[in-house]
Amino acid sequence: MRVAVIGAGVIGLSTAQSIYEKYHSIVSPLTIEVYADRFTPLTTSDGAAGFWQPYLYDKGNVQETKWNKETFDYLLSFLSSPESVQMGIFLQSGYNLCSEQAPDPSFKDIVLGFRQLTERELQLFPGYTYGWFNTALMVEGKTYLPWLMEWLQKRGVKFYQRTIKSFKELAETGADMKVDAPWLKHWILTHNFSTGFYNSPYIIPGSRLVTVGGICQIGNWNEQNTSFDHKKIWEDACQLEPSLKHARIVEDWTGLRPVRSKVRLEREAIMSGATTIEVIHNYGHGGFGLTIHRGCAEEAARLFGQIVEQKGKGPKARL
Amino acid sequence: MKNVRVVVVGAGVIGVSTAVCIAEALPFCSVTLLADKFSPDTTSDGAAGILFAAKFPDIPLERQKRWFKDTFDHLLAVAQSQHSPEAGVMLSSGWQIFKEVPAERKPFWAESVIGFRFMTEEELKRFPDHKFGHAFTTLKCECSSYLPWLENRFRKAGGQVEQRTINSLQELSNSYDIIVNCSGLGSRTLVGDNQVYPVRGQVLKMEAPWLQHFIRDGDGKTYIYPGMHSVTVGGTRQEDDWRLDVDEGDTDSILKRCSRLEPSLSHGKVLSKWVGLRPSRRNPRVEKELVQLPGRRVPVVHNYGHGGWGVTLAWGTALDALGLVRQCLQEMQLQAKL
Repeated sequence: MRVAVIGAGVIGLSTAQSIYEKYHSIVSPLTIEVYADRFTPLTTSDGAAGFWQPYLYDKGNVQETKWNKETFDYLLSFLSSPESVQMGIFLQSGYNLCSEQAPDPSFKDIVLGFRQLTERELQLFPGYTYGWFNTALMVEGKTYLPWLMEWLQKRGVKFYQRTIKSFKELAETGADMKVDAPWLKHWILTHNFSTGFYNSPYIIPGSRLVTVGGICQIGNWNEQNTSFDHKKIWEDACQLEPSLKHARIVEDWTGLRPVRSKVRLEREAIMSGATTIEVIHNYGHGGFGLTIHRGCAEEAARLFGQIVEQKGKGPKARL
Repeated sequence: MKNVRVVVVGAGVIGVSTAVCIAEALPFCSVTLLADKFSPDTTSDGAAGILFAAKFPDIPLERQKRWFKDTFDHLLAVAQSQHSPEAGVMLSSGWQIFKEVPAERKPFWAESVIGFRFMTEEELKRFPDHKFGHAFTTLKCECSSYLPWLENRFRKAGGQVEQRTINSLQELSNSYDIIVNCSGLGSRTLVGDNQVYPVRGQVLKMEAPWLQHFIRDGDGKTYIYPGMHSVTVGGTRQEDDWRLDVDEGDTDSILKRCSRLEPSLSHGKVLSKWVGLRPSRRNPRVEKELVQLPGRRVPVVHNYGHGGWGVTLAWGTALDALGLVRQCLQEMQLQAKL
């Protein structure tokens, strides 16, 4: 069977991985090819901070919460292995801050050591009256994607640079800055329920640089950094963390979060003349691609399995 | 009151903290910070500087709590300010883990650190040799940055700095009215206290920038402390061991024990190795006495013997020492009136 994966961000690469893992010994031959216009380090996944955290509330999308949990548990299982550093995975704790009391987030039972913030901790962040502390995972795209590509390359997966007509769905501009501030060891996310998710400052330290962000403009396809965005992010973040005043700004980045009302993860059969092309869609992960990637990749592989069964390419029936 | 000449002997974290407290609180005193070694050559410079306390047997618990709290609150204000990077003070979260459940599950300083709680079963899974643990947020104070920053504050408050080696308090008695002794291990010879003894500690500084949490074994011998530019990995506790050179056997032991707690360390690079002698004592000596020196009796305030808890107790004991200096001044005033 010949499989084409379109897209080489975290979703594309991990989907290729899951399909290979589950079916390379069942389907023979299994040719997997990845087509994309951009590869690491130029994908959206590369510019992201690499912080595992879903949106606060899943609004009934329990399927997504399940995939998020699968991803967290999967990444956590690698922590004690020698591969963790090459995968760009490590633990980091921090603060989710709200300006008013809010219900517990969907991920409270997934992360480690989840608890409410104490009075003393809230005093560290004037202007915020409520929030949570927990230990979560980082999975840095700039490291994880090359690791995935190497994993796939070793197993014969081929990569092709190609621009394919893009899907017409909503894109959300995100802008962030990378600064040198090695004294920061906790992530800080603020939540403003009136301005929307990711429109409120966040500071996420990584293994080398700190991502400072807080722009989320729906419908904005502009990938140019604007100095207006830059100034706003910077001022908001310095209010949150005064020590940032002394941090050296290393780079600005803008990315388009591939937003959708919910993740599209389903099969579709497309007619092309007399042939049927089996398509598995796995897109629309917004600002939580890294957070949900493994759960979705496994589901996509499961859908692939359905196709394999239907085409009679599965393991021979027992006599 | 005429100008009172105060000398603070020793420029580790205790000496510099004490000197700053005195200079800032008592503007009519002229304060000199006098030492043979200054940052980056002091014992404090090699310490990771994570705030943890231990219980001393003979000092009232209230006083020990106050020492820890005063230091913590002082450093927290620095960490939260824009001075944090220059001063080398930052927040640090992590875990203290125990192979056996300790007799005292909740340490006396639990309320002074931030967000103290016991580790969950899930969190303990990462440490199969350990059964129990604390999770909390504390502070890290890196003396190689903190001491120069504090010294700057000292000079701004009018303090004078002098590099000099002295062998006895006599050498100071004519030039100063009050002597504040923060000479750590040096007190053995300087004031003849043989209750101060070294506890040798070796550490490695490693490059492992993905580590964000501290991990410490409750026995105090194995720990991983991520800092601003490197991760301090250690350690050893060798009593009465005066060796200042690096022991490669200790290096191997440290790497082995720490990698067991944090396997990703095997990808880390060792940047440097360092040895320090903790100026240990059964209890820190924070008290005053009148010392008979040729020609006069000189008030001496002692502030030494903090062992491996210097950074943790520096500001709190410095404030106590300041209180004792004030008492000396009052007594001197009374004397003058007679």
